[in-house]
Order: sequence, then C-alpha cells, then structure tokens
Amino acid sequence: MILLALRSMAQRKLRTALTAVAIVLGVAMIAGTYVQTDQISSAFEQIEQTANEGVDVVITRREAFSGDFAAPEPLEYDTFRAVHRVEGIDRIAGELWEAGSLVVDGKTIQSDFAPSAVISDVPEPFNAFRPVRGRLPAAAREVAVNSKLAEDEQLRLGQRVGVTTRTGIQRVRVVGVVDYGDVASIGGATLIVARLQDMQGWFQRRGEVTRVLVSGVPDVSPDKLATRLRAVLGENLEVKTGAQTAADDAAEINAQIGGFLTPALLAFAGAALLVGAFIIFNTFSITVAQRTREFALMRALGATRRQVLGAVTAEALAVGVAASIAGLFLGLAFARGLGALFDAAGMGIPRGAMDLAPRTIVVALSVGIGVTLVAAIIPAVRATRVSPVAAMRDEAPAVRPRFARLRHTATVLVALAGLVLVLQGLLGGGTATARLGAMGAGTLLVFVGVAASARYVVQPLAALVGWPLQRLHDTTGELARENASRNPGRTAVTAAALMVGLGLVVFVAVFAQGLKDTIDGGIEDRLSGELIVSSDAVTPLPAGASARITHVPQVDASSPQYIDRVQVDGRPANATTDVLNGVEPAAWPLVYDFEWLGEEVDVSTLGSANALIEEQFGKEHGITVGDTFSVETPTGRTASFRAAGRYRDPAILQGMIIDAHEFLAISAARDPFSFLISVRDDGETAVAEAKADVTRALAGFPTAEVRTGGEYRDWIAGRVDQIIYLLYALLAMSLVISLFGIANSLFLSIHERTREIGMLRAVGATARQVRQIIRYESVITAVIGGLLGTVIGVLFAWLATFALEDLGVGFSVPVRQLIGLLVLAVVVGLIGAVVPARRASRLNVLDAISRGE
Amino acid sequence: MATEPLLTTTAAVTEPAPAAPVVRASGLVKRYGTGGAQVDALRGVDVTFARGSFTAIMGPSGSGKSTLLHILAGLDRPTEGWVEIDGTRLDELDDRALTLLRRRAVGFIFQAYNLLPVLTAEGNITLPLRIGGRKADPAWLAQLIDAVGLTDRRDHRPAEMSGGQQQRVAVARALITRPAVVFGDEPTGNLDSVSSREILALMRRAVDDLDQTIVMVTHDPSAAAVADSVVFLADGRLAGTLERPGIDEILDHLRELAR
Repeated sequence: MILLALRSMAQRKLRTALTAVAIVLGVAMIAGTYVQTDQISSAFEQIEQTANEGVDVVITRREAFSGDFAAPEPLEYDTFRAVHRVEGIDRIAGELWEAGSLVVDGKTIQSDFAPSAVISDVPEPFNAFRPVRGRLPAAAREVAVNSKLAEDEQLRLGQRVGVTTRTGIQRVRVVGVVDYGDVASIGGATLIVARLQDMQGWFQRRGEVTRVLVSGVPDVSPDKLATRLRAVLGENLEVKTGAQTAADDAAEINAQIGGFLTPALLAFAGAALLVGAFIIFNTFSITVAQRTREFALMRALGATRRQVLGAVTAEALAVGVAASIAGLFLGLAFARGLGALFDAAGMGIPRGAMDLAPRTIVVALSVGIGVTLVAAIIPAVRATRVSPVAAMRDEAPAVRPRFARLRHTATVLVALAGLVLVLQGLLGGGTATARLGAMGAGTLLVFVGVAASARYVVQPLAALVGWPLQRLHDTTGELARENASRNPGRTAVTAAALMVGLGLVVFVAVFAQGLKDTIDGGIEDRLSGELIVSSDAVTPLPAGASARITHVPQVDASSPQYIDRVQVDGRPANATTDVLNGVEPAAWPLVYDFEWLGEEVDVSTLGSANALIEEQFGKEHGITVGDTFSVETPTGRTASFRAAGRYRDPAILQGMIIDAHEFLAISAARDPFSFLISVRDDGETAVAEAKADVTRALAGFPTAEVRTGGEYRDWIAGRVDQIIYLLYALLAMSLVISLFGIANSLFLSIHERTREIGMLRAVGATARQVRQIIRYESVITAVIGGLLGTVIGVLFAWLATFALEDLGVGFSVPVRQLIGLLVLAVVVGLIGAVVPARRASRLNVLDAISRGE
Repeated sequence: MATEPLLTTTAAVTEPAPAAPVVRASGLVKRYGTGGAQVDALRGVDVTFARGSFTAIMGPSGSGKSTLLHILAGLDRPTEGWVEIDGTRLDELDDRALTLLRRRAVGFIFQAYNLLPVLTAEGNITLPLRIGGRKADPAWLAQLIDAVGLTDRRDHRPAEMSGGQQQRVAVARALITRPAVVFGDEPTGNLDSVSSREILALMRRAVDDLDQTIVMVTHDPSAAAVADSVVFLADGRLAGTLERPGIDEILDHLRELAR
C-alpha cells in the first residue's frame, strides 16, 4: 500500500510539489522564528556576559519595581567609601551609562528603535571594549566608537565629531574603534566610549555613576564578597555577583522575547500553516475524487478500507515529512530574511550565530507533519467510502459526505464557537497568555468555520464577481463563472486559503486606521499649542533644552512633559493606565486643552499636593475627585496626592498629571519626553518663523525635533505605518502560500476538464480564450477569498476596537485601502493562474479530446 | 425524433449538381515516431468531398481512419501533403488562424458528446458562435432546436439529459455556425440503436435540407449505409469507394479488406 502511495506521488510530481510548498513555507516560518529569536537571545546573553566579565560584584540602585520609561537612578560616590571598608576587595570602578548619539558633519547618528549610548571607560579587569584600531580614550574629549558605527560613518582616527549630551553637543575626537567583547553584532545600537570625568560633566552627573563594579582578591568568592557588601550597604542598593547580574538581565530579555516576539512571530507562522492546511485538504480532496475509480479497483481487488486509508495517509505522511524537513532548512534562510526585515524596519536587533536548537527541529517537524496529516484525514476517510462497484461504472460517482445535513449546522457552530472564544479573549479576564490563547484558537475556528460554510455563498458571490467579467467577455466570462461555482466546496476552500492572509491584512489595516485616527484626533483636539518638540528615537530630550525654548521671543508658553511609571497604593503597575506625567502648571493650560469630566480645574494653581487623573486611571484604581491616594516610582520614593480633577484623554495623556517639580522629586527621570509650545502669533507664517527660531535655539540638542501639530500627526502616522508594513511583510508569506493553493487547484481542475478544454479548442476557442477562462476563474476565486477576508478582517477589527474602547481606540474603515486589497486579490488570482492557464492553452487538442475514451 | 414528419423527406431527389469540392486533401502522409519505432498511419491519401455530400470513412482498426479525420479537420497536421477547406490551405495557417477557421468553417460531432456540463443545452449549442463573439440568429436557433427535438430541454444541463439527447445537442452545436463541413468521429459509438438512428437521421436531414457537407468516421455498417458514399481505408491507404451502398455491400467490402 505504501509503495502504491509513493508511486502515485511520483506520477503526480507537480501536484505533490505544489502541495508540499504550502507546508514547506509554513514550517520555514516556524523554524525561522525560533532560529531568529534564538539568535537574538544568544546575542543578548553574550552582551550581558561581556558586560559583566571580570566583574565579581555589581552594585546598582535597587528599583522598587521595573520602570520602562526612565533609566534607573544613579549611585552617589559615597557608595565607594562604604565599599572600601569591606575586606577582600581588589578593585573598584564606577561606570556611567547615558543616552547620547554621535554627530558627524552636523548629522545625528541614531536608529529609530535601537539604543544610542555613551558609556564610560572602565579599567581592567572590568573593561569589555577591545580596540580594533587605535586605543581607548585616555585624555579629555577623546572617544572610541563601536566598529559598525565607525564603518557606517567612515570615521577616521583623529576625526573631530560631536556627542549629544544633556548639556548640548560636546566636541570630541575619535581615537579608537572598538568591539564589544566578542559579540558578533549589537544590532543597530551605537556605542560611544568616553572617560568618566568627561561624561559626568557632559551629563550633569557630578559624583554619580550607574553601576559600581567590584573585584575581589583571589581567595574571596564573588558570593562571599556580595554577602559582605550587602551587610554594609543600604537597603536601597542592590548587590549581585557579576554572573548573577548577567544571568538575571539575560533572563529578563529572554522573557520579553519569549513572551512577545516569539509568540507574535509564531502567530504569523500559524496563519501561514493554516493556509497550508487548507491547500493540503483541498488537494487531497480533489485527488481522492479524481482517483475514485482507482480506489474502487483496489477495493474490488480485495483491499480493505483500512488499506485504502493507509494508502492515502501514507501519501500525506510522505508529503508532510519531506516538506517539513525542507521547511526546516529553508527556515535558516527565512531567519536571515526576518533579520533583514527587522533591520529594514529600523529595528536593529543584536544577533548571535545561527543555530538549529533541538526544540526548533522537534517543533517544526511535528507541527509540519501533524498539520499535513490532520488536513488529509477527511479526504482519506472519504476515500475509504468508495464502493468497489464504482470501478465498474462508467461515470465516477461523487462520494456523498455521510453527514451532509449535519455539516451545515456543524460548520456554523464551529464559526460561532470561534467568535465566542475571540470575544472571551478580548473582553474576558485571565492572564494575558490565556486571553491570547483564546483569541488565537478562536480565530482559527472562525477561519475553519467560514471556510467550511463558504461553499454556500460561492454561487452568489461568483455571480456577483463574474458579472463584470461577463460584461467584458461574454462567453469566457460566463464559463469562468460557471466553472468557479460548479464545485463550490473546492472553490470555497481555495478562496479560504487567500481569505486567511487577506483577512489578517485587512484586520491590521482597519485596526491601525482606527488607532491613527484616534491619535490624530487626540492631537488635533487636545493639543492647543502650535509646536511640539520631541525626539525621533526612544531617548528622552535633554533637560537643558527647556531654558533654550523659553528664551525664544515668540514662545508664549512652553511646558515639558516628563513621564515615569508609577504604582498606586502598592499595587503592581498596569501597563496602560499607570503613567505619571509631570508638567509645568503655569504653561500647561496654554498648550493643552482638557476635556474635563465633572468640574473644571484651574491647572495653573494645581499646587504640590494635587493631581489630575485620567478617566481610565480613576476607574482602574477606584479613585474619584477628592480622594487622596499614594503613588510610588521605581526609585522607591512615594508621595500622596489628592485627585483635584478628572479628564478624558486615553489616547495621548494616560494616567495622572502632577507639577513637574513634584515629579522630579520622586522620579529618577531627568529628561522630558516632549515639550508643548504655544506661540504668541498663531498665523501660518508666524508659526513657521517661530518653528525656525525654536529649531535654531535647539541647535545644540540635535535629537530634539521641532514640529507643528500637523507635522507631528504625520510623523506619528509614519511610525504606526512602519509597524504596519512590518506586519504586512510577515503576512505576505500567507498570501504567497495561497498563491500556490490557487495554482494547485487550477491545475487539478484543468486536469479534470482536459476534454472540455480540448472540445473548446476544437470548436474554435483560441488559446488566448482558454487562458482567459482559466484566468477569470482564478480571479473570481481570489476575489471571493478577498471578500470573505475583508468581512472577517473588518469584523475582527471592530471587535478589537470595541474591546479597547476604554483606551479610546476608535473604529474607522480605510475604504481606499480595502479596495486596494481587493485589487491585490485580483492580482493574486492573475498570478496564480499564469502557469495553469498556459498549460491549459497548450494542451494538445487531439490528446485532450480523446482523453478517457 | 422518430415521429418527426420532416424526416420522411426523400433525400436523393434534391441531389445538387456536382459542386466545387469543400474539402480537398492531397498526398497525406502521417508518420509517428522515428527509426525502428516508426509507424506510418497514413501513406499517401488523396481525397475530396463535394458540397452537400455525406461521406462515411470506414476501415479496420489501425487503418488510419481517425488520423485522416483529425488531419482533415485541422486538429492535427500531416507529415506530408496538404488539406484545403473551403478554399483555404490549412498548412499555410498558424495555430490562431487555424482556430479561427475551425470556428468559422468546421463543425464537430464527437463520440463522447463533449458538452460543457456547466452550460445548458442552448448554451452548448450556441457556444461556437459566442466564442467568436457572435449572437445566434433566434429564428435559426429555434429551428435547429426544434429540428433536434429539444425545445422542451433548452434550459437543461447535460447531466439532466440522456446520451441520445446530449448527442442531439452536439449535432445542433455542429450545425449552428452553418459550417462548410461537419466532421463526425464515431458519432453513434456511445449510443443505443434507437438513439443512433435518430442521430443519423438528423445528419442525413442536414445534408438533404441544408446542403450541409458531412464527413464521418464509423465502424458501424448500418451508420455508414446512411451516407451517400463510403470511403474505405486500409493500412493508411485508400481502399475503395462505394456509392450509396447497402449494409451487405459494406460488410462484403470490409471482409475483403480484412483478408
């Protein structure tokens, strides 16, 4: 039986290859995801190891909880004195990390997402920088830069460049090019090494360092040393061995990758595999139908049902195994592509060496083979129901599904169950993992349910889509439409393959449009100032910019916006609501227009004991106006505030607002994230002039970008688009796979209709007309998939925005984009039909007519 | 069909004066394969078919009769020699021009009906016209559908019709374009005797009433007996012609050839 299965595959090389491609690509995505994220993890592990090499004990400021907005508070030099008194110390050094970029010929070098850091030079044995050319900085205003940065900017030793700092651009000289330990890549990050004394001046960190590094004398173990240090140092300091620090930091990064990046990428791989599963199901269904007589003959010759089942299953298994192994290795290439994609999106992420971990191999192979077998099981069972008599009959009878009537109900139930799961994931409680799981499983069920019930709408949809084609080309259009709807189940599944990819694209497009509109509206309605100053990178703006802005004559009012994470009344911070904003109360009312809930508040007289709370923040913590509550920042410092007023702005000003002075008293943040500015004259030319003046005033802080409200909106939209395009690129794989699906089922249909095509040619259809029929059939199928995908995508986006209503995310349908995506479906249909149409038009008329006689 | 009174029209009386041949072929040779595996399906055949003639081609299996039909109809190209249909040399046409000629000047009736399952009877009949972007003349279409006895089946699909009914659709489809010549490839091969008789009567009527030229390959002597003349083929060569033969005459000739 197995031999028979293999032989039948060999005879259908093209079909088998096309079927396999669907699985190959899906498996490649899974393997590639693991390989790529493993590479990132290993790079971070290496970086952490390098950073802590030669370090026995690391002393840092203890954070009350992990804050993601501000860098941890620095340590004061006093710490050294305490450390010195401990027995067994060999060496001590202070290390300072600050955000700062290189300025080459007036251009600031920074990447959108990767950090740009200035790091102080530390003595041996702590130093992790290995000079490739030149040397490490030894004198004032000397720096060394990492080799990627030097290479990209073609820096020479001795070249004079600038460094952006809290006190403006500092002039420095490049004296060395360094590698960070033996880390292969640190991604798009730029590293500048300078002397500690210089940095402390530039960044206003006199007597302060980020970490204190300690090494012990040979006979004292790091653990023992750490214990001794803990005994003499205060509770507010964290003492860890170097190895522990490296392990903890790497674990934290890995948790982030494993908790977000890997599952997100695997979700895309899952979508691709779902598409693959549809294609496998379709191919096996069609071929089982085409081989009815063969199975009947096997049965007539004495094969049991079990043997027939075995033959089909063996074929699926062979396809699954071969495709999964191929996919595993293609995954290496895919991982590389994924890396290039991240780079192209401006997210230079560090990467280690490529490695096929055992987990990667096991997961990729078992998922690939599993999906193939599951998808082939229904067709295989159907093959067993062929009765031996069918071998004798002239026309191969269609095998009726046994539970035809039940099926209708079942498919609808599956889709509904999926919707319920999605809703539960969106609106229900539980851990994030459980909710995401529910959403994923629900989406899967919805897709499967819709694919199975789509057969009932194929005919009307084909009529709808075919109508314009028929107007265009009467006969070929009609034949294409009829061909598309003559086997609704098959067309439905082929279309469903495209539906999955397009549905997800539509979801992203609609959801993102809502997000953009919300942010747009928020900026438009709430920001009453004319200018916004913010950084293009993840780094905050230098605090020194503040004074420069207020000195510009046209500036009427300017307020910084400081941001930090808070915990309210000791409860773990909520990622969306628990944000602490510090603003200048006198200027704020002139640059920001509140939507008050309840009584209006005079912000300029806010005072040190009062806070304004956002609606969602209040809801989350049960705080109403008049209540007093206490907040804690990652520094561990706490303060109590009375809620003086309540406003609504979930899109751009979440959390709570306090006076900037109070903010700086409890937060480690020193630099604002943005400045909102109102100018004296809001006429168009006056604003443009004011913008130019502010820009000039901030020349010393090149990371600060001055934008008008409109420019700021465009910039935000651009950032959102960048993410969207990344998602599109990841979804492209699903579309490519569905392309193979369309081509495959066209090939199978052409094979079935060889005689019809021959007859058409005989009675005078040109080769071109035959191609047109196939192309149109393909387009009709693809557009049906596109329409289904659009409906599902819009529905999902609506559900998602509904669930996120509290966060102010609105729902809006980008009609033009959706039309564009339907055009894309047409293009997919056309491309999918190219090779099949050519094959159909080249059929030898004689062979075609005499086939099967 | 059998009750159709028009079928009783006598054929012989309206025989037209010898007209210019509609189909001419000269020196047809068809060779398959090369070297030791070489097979000569046709070894030099010259043949002409006059307008309004009904010719049957017969011969034992492997005599080359199907190959000859395919080459005459422009579905296959000869290794040597040429074919002319309605004044056009087929060897001078490329694939597209040949297709257009088939569309205009040639009708087909296949053994296996070869209807499109997705089209109705009427849709199948008008297909050759519509492929050319033309509309069927309603009167002519109605007349044809009536003649083949499918007036009440116009909107039925092939799956809802018997084999005989399907082949009647195929006959109407072959006639709809008023082609110069209709080729039949064992048109009664798949039919029971009653249906066979109906189809042959239809073809006969097309020749008699419409001055249609028909060339058909058959191995059934009773089918060949309906034709005006029977051309015999053996080993790729012409092996005699019988004018208006009876069934016995045909059987005798075939027996002769088999010897």
